[in-house]
Amino acid sequence: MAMTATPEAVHSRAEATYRPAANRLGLWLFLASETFLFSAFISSRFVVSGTDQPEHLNQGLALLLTLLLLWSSISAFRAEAAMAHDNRRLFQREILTTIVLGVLFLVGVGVEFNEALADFPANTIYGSSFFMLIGLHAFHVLTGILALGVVWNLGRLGHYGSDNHWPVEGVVKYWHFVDLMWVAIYPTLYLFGGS
Amino acid sequence: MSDKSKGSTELAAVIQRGWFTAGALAVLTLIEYFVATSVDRPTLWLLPFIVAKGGLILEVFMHSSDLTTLDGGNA
Repeated sequence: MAMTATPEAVHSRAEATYRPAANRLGLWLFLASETFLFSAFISSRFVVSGTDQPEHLNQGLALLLTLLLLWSSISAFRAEAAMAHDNRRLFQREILTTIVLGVLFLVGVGVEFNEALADFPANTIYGSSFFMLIGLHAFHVLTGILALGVVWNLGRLGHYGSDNHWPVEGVVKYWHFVDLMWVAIYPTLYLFGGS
Repeated sequence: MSDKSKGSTELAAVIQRGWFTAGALAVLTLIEYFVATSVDRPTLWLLPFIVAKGGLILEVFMHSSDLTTLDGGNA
């Protein structure tokens, strides 16, 4: 007699087949909505002050922050790849590296805020765009660090494996998105005005 | 070749791809900075750098090609 699959088994198989794709689509839609938010603030910078920028921007620090975020992207990428290949030790090390680099980025933003407040307060035309955009991005970095911390802890406790690492993929994708936004914010605030 | 060593080889290949991409992003960032500080009105000159860097991050790091397949893909 032929075996018939129970409804639960069919549902479970369908869940396993379609859930990852549904998760990914949901995350991409969320990131698309975030892109609209960042785009609104980036465009407002050009509306209120064109491409003009103050002379006293700390270009060296901004370049350093950009390279820090770039470095954190490769460590996040390595962490995701490591978990996809069941290399938990490398995963934990790279997630921690990403967190440390993210914290260093936030410290750098704090230094930049301190310097910038002396040169162009937040109630100036350029200052309002500058502090809003950098602050919005820094908040996303902070939430990314918290999410990375959760994923690191759950990974340490053995919750993920090569066939079950969607949370790692999702958080790392979010981290890359934060990097992607900085790729647009950095020239918008620091470079478009020229030397 | 055992499954374990095959997995290690695959992981090394994926990570190498990541390093190449990060290297390209770093070089593009430095050229972008150089252009911005040496050209008088650099806005238009900088747009290709934003597009190139964004494209690299989207494709290599964020696996944007997942969107074209139902089952997706991983690093």
